[in-house]
Amino acid sequence: MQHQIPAVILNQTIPRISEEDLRASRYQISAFLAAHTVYELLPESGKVVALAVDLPVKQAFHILAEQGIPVAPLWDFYKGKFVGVISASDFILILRQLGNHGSTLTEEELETHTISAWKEGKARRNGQVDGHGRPIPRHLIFVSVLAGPGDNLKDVALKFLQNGVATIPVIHSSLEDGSFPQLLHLASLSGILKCVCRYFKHCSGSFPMLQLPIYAIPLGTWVPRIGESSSRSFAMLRPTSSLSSALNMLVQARVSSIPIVDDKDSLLDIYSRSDITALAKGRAYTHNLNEMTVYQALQLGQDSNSPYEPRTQRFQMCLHTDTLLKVMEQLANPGVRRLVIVEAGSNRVEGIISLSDVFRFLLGNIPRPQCSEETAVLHTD
Amino acid sequence: VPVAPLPRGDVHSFFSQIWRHDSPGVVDSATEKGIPIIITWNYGGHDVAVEGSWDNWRSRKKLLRSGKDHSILLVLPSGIYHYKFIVDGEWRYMPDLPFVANEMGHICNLLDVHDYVPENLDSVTEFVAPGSPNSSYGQALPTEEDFAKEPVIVPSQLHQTVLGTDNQDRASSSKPQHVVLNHLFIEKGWASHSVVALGLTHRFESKYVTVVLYKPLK
Repeated sequence: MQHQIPAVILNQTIPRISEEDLRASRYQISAFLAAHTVYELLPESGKVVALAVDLPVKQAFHILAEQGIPVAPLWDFYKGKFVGVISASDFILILRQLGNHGSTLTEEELETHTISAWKEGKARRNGQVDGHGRPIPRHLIFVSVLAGPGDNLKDVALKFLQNGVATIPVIHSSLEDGSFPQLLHLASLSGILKCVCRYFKHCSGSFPMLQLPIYAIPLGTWVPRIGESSSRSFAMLRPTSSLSSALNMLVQARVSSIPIVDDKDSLLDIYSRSDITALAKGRAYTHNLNEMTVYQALQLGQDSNSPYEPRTQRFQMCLHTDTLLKVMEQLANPGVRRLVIVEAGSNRVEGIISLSDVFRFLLGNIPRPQCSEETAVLHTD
Repeated sequence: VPVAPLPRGDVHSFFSQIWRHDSPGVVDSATEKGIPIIITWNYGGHDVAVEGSWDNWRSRKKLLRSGKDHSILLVLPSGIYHYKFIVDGEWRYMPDLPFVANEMGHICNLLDVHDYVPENLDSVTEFVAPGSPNSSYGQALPTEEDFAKEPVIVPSQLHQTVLGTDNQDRASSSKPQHVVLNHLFIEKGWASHSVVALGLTHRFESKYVTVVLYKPLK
């Protein structure tokens, strides 16, 4: 997390809270999360879509697009268990591979290439080795970050942060050996944040930390000042940039979304990893991604949106003066994973706040994982 | 635990008394649904009042006495609240209700207002699951002969498939009817008949989950 004061703050005294207040608040939040379980995240009546792991990648892509979901757990009939998830990141990697010359994956092969074959190839390409330098055995190829309904929310929040994932399937088995597992829910940090906000909404007076404006913390990733050096440059794109440059940026910068701005850096839209599923429409993924612009790709998505979802709800914005509590309540809405910090009036992009930024702050100093989803962090449990 | 109002004694006069004397608790905005909650103090005393975080401890509400108990009806949006009692001038809390201590050692009671009441079949005492009808039951898998016969007619309650295309907001799906629970539905016709969708709704404790699994058809 960057600790520099954003460029927008000039000659203002920055509100602060004492170390003790911060520690006391964090203690209470941790205690609250540890006292509640994943079961509370389940809606009274919910629906989850899962895919069999021997489904061809192309079918998987179309199903996710049709169902309007960015991620699905994978079921292996032979092993009788859930073995991980397939997500928008996988499709982005597949499409980038298709575009490469000398790639081993052709469009026809997409029809027969199964999800499990794709996952194995990905692990091999990333040269996965275990702690002793040996190649990972086949049965451990899948990334399998799972949770049970009785797990407490603090442990699950840490799982999200330590593994750099956005979705964790909730699985329950009433048998000792974990056989005949039931899929219950797809947990996300926004669900946990909703629980936290329920707690704070009506007793925020006891937590002065929540009234801090976000620039004072500072929370999120901010556009660096001109002339300032920064370890990470802020990823933004013009609408005329090619889609393949957007996909490259998503993978290499290891971000989940890129603000699309005009020549004055004013926010026009946002391109997220989950937008990749719009390419299933009319099989647009077979077109040359170098020749498709980000604007065209976003148009595809707009047409396939349900008429009930207005364009403006695709992204949410906030101001640098907004309080932590206000930002938390916005992020607690389902489907909102990030807020773009903009300048009032001009909509000039100042930064981005994600769900994981908020939780890293609330739980205190959790380091980012070395690798993210793209490089398939492996778990030997 | 404070629950939704269940009458004890004479319902009508109790409630009409409350509506006349005291306005219900704060409901922040017109769009937030208020849920009626009764808070009760069972430890005697003459004058009992309550203050809480629902209005940031701004107002003190008197409880109405009924025998040894004092109660008040509040209407609050879903959320978690802190509150304390003032009994004859002293700050008190109810030790047999959920409570929490802050870092300075002050204790107050905790109120968790849910916007739905979870199902609890154990509380429905008259419900006894009917036995299976008289017939022979077995676990043998169907044979070629069985497949040659016409399938049994599906009961009309099961005509509504859980695989219906309801791609609306998942969080607000309506509760499924109990009759469809634990029945497996299959839907073919996906992408040139090479993929099928299997659907199942089951209950986990008080919540319902519909799982749709897509698999290739070989």
